[in-house]
Amino acid sequence: MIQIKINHKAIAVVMVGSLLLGSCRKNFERINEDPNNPKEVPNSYLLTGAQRGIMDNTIDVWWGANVGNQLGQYWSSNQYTSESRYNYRTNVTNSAWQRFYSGASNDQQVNVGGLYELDQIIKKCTEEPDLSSVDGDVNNQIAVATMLKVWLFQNMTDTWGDIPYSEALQAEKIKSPKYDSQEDIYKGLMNDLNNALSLIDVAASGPNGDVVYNGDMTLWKKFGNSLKMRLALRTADKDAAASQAAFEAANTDGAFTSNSDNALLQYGTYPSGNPIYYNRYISGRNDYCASNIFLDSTLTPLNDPRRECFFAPASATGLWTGEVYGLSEANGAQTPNSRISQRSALTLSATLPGIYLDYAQVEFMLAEAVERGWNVGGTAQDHYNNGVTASIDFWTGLNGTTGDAAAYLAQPDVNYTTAPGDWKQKIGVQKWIALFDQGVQGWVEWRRLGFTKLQLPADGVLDGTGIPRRMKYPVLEQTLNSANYNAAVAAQGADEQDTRMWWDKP
Amino acid sequence: MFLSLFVLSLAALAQERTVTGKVISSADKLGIPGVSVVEPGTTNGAVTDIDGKYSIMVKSTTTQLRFSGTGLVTQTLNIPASNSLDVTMSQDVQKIGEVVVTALGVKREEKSLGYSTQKVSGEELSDAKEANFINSLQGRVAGVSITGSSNLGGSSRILLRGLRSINFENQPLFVVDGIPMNNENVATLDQARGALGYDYGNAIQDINPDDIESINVLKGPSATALYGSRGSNGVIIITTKKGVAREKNEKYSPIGVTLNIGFGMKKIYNLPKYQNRYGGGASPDFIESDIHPGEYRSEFEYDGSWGPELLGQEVYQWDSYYPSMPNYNKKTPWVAHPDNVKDFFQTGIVKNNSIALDGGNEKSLFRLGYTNYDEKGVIPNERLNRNIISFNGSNKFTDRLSADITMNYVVSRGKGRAATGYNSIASNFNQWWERQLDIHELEDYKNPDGTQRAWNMNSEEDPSPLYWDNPYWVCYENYETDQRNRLYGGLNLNYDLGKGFSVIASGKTDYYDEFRQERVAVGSAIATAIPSYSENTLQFNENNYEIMLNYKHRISDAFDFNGFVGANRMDQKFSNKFIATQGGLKVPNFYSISNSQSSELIESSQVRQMRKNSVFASASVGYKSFLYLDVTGRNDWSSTLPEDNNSYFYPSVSGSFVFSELLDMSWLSYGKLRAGWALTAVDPPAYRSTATPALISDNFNGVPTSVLPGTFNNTTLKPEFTSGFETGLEAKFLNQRISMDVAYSSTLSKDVIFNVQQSSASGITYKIYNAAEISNKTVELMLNVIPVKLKNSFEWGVGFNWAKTKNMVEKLFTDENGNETESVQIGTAPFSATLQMYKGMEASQIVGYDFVYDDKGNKIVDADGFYKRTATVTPLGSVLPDYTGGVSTYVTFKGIRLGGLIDFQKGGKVYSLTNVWGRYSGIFAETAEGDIRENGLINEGVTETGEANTTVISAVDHYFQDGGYVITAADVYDASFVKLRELTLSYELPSSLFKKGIRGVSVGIYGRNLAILHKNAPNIDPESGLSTSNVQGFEGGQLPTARTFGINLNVRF
Repeated sequence: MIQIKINHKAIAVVMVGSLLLGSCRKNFERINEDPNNPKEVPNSYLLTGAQRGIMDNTIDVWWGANVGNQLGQYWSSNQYTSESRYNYRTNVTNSAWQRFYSGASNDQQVNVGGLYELDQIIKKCTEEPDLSSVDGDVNNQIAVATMLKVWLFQNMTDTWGDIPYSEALQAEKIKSPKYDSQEDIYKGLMNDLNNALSLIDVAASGPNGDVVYNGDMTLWKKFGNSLKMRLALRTADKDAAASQAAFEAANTDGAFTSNSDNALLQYGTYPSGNPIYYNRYISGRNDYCASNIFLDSTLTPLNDPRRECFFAPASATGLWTGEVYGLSEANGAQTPNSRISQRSALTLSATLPGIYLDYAQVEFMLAEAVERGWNVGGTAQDHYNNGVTASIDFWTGLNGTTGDAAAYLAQPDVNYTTAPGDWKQKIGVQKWIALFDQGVQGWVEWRRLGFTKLQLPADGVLDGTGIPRRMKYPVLEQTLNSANYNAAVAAQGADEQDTRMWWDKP
Repeated sequence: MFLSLFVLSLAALAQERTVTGKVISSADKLGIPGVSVVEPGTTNGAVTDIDGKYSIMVKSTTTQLRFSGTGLVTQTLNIPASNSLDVTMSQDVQKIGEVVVTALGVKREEKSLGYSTQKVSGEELSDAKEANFINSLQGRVAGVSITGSSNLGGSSRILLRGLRSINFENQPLFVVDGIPMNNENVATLDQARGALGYDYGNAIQDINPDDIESINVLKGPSATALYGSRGSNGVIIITTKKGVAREKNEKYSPIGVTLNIGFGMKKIYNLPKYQNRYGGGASPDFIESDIHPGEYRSEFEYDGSWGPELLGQEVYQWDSYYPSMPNYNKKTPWVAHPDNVKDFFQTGIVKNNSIALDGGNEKSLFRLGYTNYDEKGVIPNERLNRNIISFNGSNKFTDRLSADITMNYVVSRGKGRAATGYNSIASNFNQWWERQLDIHELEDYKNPDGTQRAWNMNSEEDPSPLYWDNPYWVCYENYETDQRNRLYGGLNLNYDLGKGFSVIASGKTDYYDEFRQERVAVGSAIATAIPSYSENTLQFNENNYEIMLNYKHRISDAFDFNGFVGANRMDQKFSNKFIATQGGLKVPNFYSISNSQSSELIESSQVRQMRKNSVFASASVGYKSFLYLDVTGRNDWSSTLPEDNNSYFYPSVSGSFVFSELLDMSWLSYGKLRAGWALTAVDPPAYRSTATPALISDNFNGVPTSVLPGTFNNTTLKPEFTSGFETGLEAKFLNQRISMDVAYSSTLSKDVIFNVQQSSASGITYKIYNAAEISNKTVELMLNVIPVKLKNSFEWGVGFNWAKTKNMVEKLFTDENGNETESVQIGTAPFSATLQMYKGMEASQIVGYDFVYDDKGNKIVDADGFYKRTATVTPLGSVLPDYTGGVSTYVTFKGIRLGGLIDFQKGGKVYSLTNVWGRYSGIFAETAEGDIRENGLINEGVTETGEANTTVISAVDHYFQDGGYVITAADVYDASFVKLRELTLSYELPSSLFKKGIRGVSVGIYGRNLAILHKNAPNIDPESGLSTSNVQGFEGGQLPTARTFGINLNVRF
């Protein structure tokens, strides 16, 4: 038999030792308390982060310069030109999708918010109204967060078509949200917007941390109505009656009436500057310049006073020369930057504001509504003139120059009565010019109104057959949300840039 | 104290006599060196020399001498009156299984172990030293795969039998003399993915190879189960050299002094193959000058080499735009400079000097060592310097109480480490370079006014740098400095309780702080970085307190029992503070945070703390020294798990059967079968099992902002478990002339914790779960053969080791609706590749666009003549090798030893940015072969309708559109290699040459990383480590490989 003699001293030593070391587990929870990040933050911090985030990520070098400003053919690439020929890097689309939905770091590696943060404000106001009320009237907080959500969702559906909407942003419940049809999304967004507008109490306090309107709910109400007009007009060819009703209601309730109503994100100096400033001056990149389509074929022949706001003459020649849009890399590299008009000091400045929605657009929408026979008051020409004037005033105002809008409008090619083409062409071209720096919106108007300015890339399209009608979904969705992705592709059509989305279908 | 002991021993010297003789082997009758000859009952002893001869002075009253040696039968013999005693010694089959250090520092006879361990001696590592000693293990241990880097003091990633974790640590635990050592590699994500950063290396390189006695590698869960969660990736146990009690001998000093002087030179090789026919520019034509009307200039603003042919044309080049340069306003000939990259690199100098003192007596032993390692890099201004002081000592206070102490202090300083990855100097030379540039002209990199002389200027009017700084400016102006101070040590108290019981109490600590300063000078190309200065302070501390009760008992003649129980507490703290200037520097060339252009600094701070309490027990029973059974158990309580579910237990059982004990076969010296099973567990990282917090972000125009993290925590996390089985066969034949070890192991890790990616449309991008299953199946083979062993002491030995690991991702994540995650991304290379885990595939897949192939395997070409790429991204192969191994050989003859080591890797993939851009930019030779630039080329492939492609495309368009920037697969390469890793030649001078004082002298020459004998990846070294993180297989801009030649002198007094 095996016999082991027990040594009592030994047992005692081990017992005491184990007790000393093995006990004190009570401290474990304290040790595992994250000392680096707070459990809760005020709603106002989330709002500021989201207002910055949704603008930063819309206008930065990846989405604003490579996608928006080139789809609108405002800018041209002088190197890495594949985007101007509609071949997009997969990471760009992946990260834009992520930045828009979940918020993420922006191009300067600053953590900024997105739809999820806006949604969390709404959730916290609904679930914990007492706690949330320190940051302003909870209904007004919900209204502002909702309107910003609608703004971004519309940009996104106008980019991709069908996207996750009704099941989106429920991180803990639904990991793979289904895609809704664009038609349903537009209905949903209109519904969200109406709810938000009905919640606004202009007498109560606006949200803290609002860096757009500083809590002025009257302006937010105007923003809501202006956005409602934009939503309504976009579906005008699909559901004319409903669109007209919504548009007229919004107009009656009160949209923007001057440039001072403009919804802008006022960027500041370093390090709160415009993302394009960072790209040019902090990262030292100079990959974009004026596109010949916008500068040589549009601004220069029309003697547009905004030309000097947007661009600068070529340094070597003093001439206003745009880069031929859509060159191959080899051809793009042939022309030194000194012989091409570069972006202006204004458009590269740290303090250039980001535009959510502006008064000029509202007037162009009203002009179109008149043409569509909707009951909004005024003539199409008045609204058209107001739109052009508002845009010139806005840009020359920012630039510290003066622009004679009246003289500009008096030119036969600009004058509403004599300008070439039908109302879609006339309004389209001027609205397109006025939508400079809101690239995706310029591209939307080309798809909606079909004005004839935009051209195929000079050295050919690399992906698809023409100017894209939509962007391809992010590649990551194919693996992370494959069933819903496949269902969306089956419903909407091939995941190609030539596929038309619901409101764009003839 | 030591002094008084010596005085005492001097007093004992009375009348003495000298005994001499020779020890020979019973097998081959050759002298056996290193046999210890001792006067029984004293510490007086001697060691036989290279010829087996000895001489020992003993007291006149002494009648016997004891002879012992590793693997030899100990003999005690009477001293004849002649005072001359020759001895024949035979090998001790019983003792063949050497004593090895196993988990928790327990020494065990190798034959009693039911799992595989592999030992590497300190000498093998110190013959040819590396700044990171991990690299010296390459090719020596089966199943150990090491990815080194070409960076000075850079990272070496080590994996034992594959990987088990997706997001977290996969490297083994290092334990030095019982002290668990931190091997963290604090690297930015951009560094790991090959974008940009400095490779500061992994922290374990602080260990000094000169102090290492031996390294024991415990690979499988059975071997490491006693380490608990920390041992789940294997354990590397390092035992340092200890003091030796020396005989009193008038010939030598009682304190041993070992002096090592090492000097080496480092030279780069393996540069890409460049073209030297065309210079910089986007097109074959020069650019019309703005400031010299009607004349032409080079296109210096284009950082590629698709420019005009180099025919000696006179044009204005970059150096004609700086008034202070000799060629100002002069045209110079447009000619090739084929060695412009090679000439940039200098000869590196490696100096490794150390001194060690050791000594003692039967009560006390000590060793004190000092080492200075100094390396001047192959890049100008690059330097690594390390000073190491190590001390260990032991003392027996009473018959029962003894103590030992270890203390090590390391100061490591780096300066001017080369940046790695895209945007580094290497990426400049090999990815965005103008081939005609004369490097010597760039050497004087500054104008008298302090501004930069850059070849890549903005324009003729503005000669400031556009995308690329002058490489010398990078080295001398934009340099980093770093310093790490590390203190580690331990104290053990050992008390013998009697009746086979003893208790050991110990305290161990590992502490370091590290200070990194990075600079970007005013006047640098802001395309890469704005002028800045940053400070990064790291602090790490881990303390372990342990108590262990051992019990040893011989139960009967047949049964032996060995066991222990113990408890451990581990406390770990880590902090990482980063602070940097924002928006530039106010005063040029002044590096202080206060010099920030903006008063809003870039700051971040991370603190991490964790605690783990453990109890453990082990019992082993041996039967008649041929059958052994081990059972162990450990329970951990970890602070990183939810409080109500933070306890986890893991057992192991293993056994061995030494069948040779039962057989009587003269050809079989030793044979053992072993098998073991174990369960180990891993707890999650700190702060991931709590509620998800918010993140404080940067203020916007002074207004505070905050966001919710894209990665969510999970309050239901539990540990992940790995169960593993292993079995093996060890055998030695023909008097150990042949020995072999075959091992098979299989592990399955379940509930592997990782950040599961989900559609961002859900509002978040990742959430941490216990989800994946990863399996590893490894076959290892080790074979050592001594084909020739002659009587004249000539011996030739060959060692071979080989291991194949199949590392599969069995399962990733299944959501509540049964939807399975197909893949998860763990890293993104700059541009087109990602690294992902794919369900049902080998771990760590490079993912990107592939070529499109027809049924016959031909590449399909589109209507324009370019290769088609797949519509979606697809896995392109695992970065993990199919198998790895090494072949070593030695020849010894009368004190001369010649050794060589070749190691190899088969398979594994690498995505090479050097090849992506080196071809895109027209730098590499293949872009100028034939007359493709003049005549165009035809892609080999078929059209969509199946006919052979005949469309001619221009070379530049081909390299723009058919390369890895567009079609990832074009620059994903097989990472197989065969490397001549080491050649050493050493000579131990005969002791007869020295009269007094000198115990021995050896000299050696060595070469490290001598040649890449075979590889399939063009233009790069396929072994391309950037960090020790799980993001591997991305080569972002690699420095050329360097070979080292050196000489070592070792003198022992």
